[in-house]
Amino acid sequence: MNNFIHPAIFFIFGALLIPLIPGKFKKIYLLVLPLIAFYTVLTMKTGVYAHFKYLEFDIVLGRVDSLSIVFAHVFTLMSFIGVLFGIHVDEDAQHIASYFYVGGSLGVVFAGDYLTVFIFWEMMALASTFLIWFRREPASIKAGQRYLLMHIFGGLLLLGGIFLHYQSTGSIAFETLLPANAGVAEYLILAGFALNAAVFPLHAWLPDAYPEATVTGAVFMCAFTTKTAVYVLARAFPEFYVLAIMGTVMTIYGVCYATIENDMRRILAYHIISQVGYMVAGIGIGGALAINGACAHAYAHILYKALLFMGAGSVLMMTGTSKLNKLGGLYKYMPLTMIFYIVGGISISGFPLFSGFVSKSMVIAGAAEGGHQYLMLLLLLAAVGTFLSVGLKLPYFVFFGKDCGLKPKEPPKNMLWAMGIAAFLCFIIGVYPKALYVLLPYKEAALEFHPYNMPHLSETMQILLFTGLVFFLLLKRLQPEGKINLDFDWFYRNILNAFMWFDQKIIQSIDVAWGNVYKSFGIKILMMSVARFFAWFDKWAIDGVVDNVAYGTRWIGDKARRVQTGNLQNYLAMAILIIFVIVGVHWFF
Amino acid sequence: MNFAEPIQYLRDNLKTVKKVMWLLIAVSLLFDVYVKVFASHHAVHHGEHLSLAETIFIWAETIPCFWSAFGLVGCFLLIRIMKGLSHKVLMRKEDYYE
Repeated sequence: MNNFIHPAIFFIFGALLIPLIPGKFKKIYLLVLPLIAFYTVLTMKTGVYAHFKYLEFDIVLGRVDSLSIVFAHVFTLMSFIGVLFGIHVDEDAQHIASYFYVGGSLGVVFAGDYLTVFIFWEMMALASTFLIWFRREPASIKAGQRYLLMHIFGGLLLLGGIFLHYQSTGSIAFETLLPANAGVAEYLILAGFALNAAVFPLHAWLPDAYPEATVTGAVFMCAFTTKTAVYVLARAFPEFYVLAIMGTVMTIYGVCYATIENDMRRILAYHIISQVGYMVAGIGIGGALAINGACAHAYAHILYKALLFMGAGSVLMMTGTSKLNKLGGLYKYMPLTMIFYIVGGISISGFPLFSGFVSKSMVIAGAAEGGHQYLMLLLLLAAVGTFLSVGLKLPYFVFFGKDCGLKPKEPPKNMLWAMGIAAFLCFIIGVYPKALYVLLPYKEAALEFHPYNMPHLSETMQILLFTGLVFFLLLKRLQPEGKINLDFDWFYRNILNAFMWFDQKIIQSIDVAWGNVYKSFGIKILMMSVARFFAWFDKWAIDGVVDNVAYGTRWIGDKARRVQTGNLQNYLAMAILIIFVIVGVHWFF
Repeated sequence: MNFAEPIQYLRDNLKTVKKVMWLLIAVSLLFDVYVKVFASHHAVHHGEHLSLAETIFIWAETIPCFWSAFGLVGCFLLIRIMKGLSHKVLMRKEDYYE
């Protein structure tokens, strides 16, 4: 039984040791730990490990089955690529943040109870916030704050759902739920998960925050938060039809915004929403084929999306800008970056021989098999938009188009290697899909699925070629513009602003008015009136309350007397006093 | 090795590249005619009441080059509608939130 080593251990405890490792060995250390973690995932056997009781709760840290293995497999693999991409970064704290982030997502993947899920969930939210803040631009600090607030909000939804779920069922086991049994508690949990999966309309944090993250941090972020959410949705909420609808909406919504955006990494962020939509839709449709499709697409997506973010990040790092209207003609200076980026671009678009072709088609086939023709047509329409923005518009305006006059170099070697490995894996999965299909939860169904058939090839080639044709016909209309577009973050930015306004104007004006009263009446009169007020307040309010509390609590007091030396009223008064002191201190400083 | 050279070569011969792309489009259209007319056999639906999506789905399986039209119209509408929406409603200056 004890042959299970939790791979999160390497990341969470490994992160604590990073500052202690001497300079020369640090890079080796950082690269070797993900490889060891990957090896433990490869050698893992299914079963339930690290199962114990804590405060009457059944805690399961290591639930290993085919669903958790496929996600752990790609997470550990991706962590190696991500660390390699960022190995030139000298700041330990950035590596620590990304290690905790990966550790958190692995913790969620193997968790067998909601308490463990919640703890690792919050670890991910906090660690990833630092990946935004470490860019140290004013915009990043603000975006990181909004990101953290949104994730705390999502975490509260999740926690509330867990409490209610525990109250009604008496269990915190993290198991598959049936749509017929789901009540408020389960839908609160679903909403908490959906926020991390960037399900419309809880998605706005993603294109708000990811473009502001560090170049290397964004590569981690695009892989872990949304895909961990896909895992928990696949675990707990398969065949919830609301997810099928919302997932399809996400696929369309993402490509629509990507068509009009100007920032490279924001375009890619909208395409995360779009691609995660395929996975969410697959989970909502349910059935062996669609669930397999969701997992396969998550696996393929992590690799090609990381590749795209690495390419865009390299351009940002070497040129200092990620705006399409300021870029162009970079193919002369960054040809390798361009080639790797384009491999990512044609993988996400689902070109034959690349990974998107063999994973996306599984979700679409699942939709057709389940009799959801509307969803299937919309999912194919989203594929048009994917190729348009990521496969054509972005590389055209960055690497070709009008020469911007910048003459950047290729990025450092480690970044090129990381991109090369990711590009190679995208290609391998495309030409040898069996390597991916054997990992999927429903193995028989997966091995019966053959993406390379004539109707599917013909359909894909036509859609892609005609999308390309329209792109070149409407090239003038697609000229990038140095503008931004409103999205749902408008709402929460304004709620935040309203709160800040309330705090700064109303609270502060009361504060100022109080100060003026103090000045104009002088300390004596003020003290007198305050004293009179408190005498009145004591006589009429406190005495009344306390007397009633006293009568009401006499019974409790009798019981409590045996274990307490003081009386209950003193404790109450002390507690209220402390609250007053805290509020007072907060007010005046 | 200079990786920019092959890309430069393709750019210098843009006319040939364009011709190859048109040829590829023609081949894909012919290939679909072959797939739809000769290589696949479909269940015949008649007399049943079909929803719009089911009807489109049957067109997709039987009409040659359906997906070409789908890609053409879909991409055209996506660009025109979203660019229009952006210019009319959504677009703001870059410092709008600052």
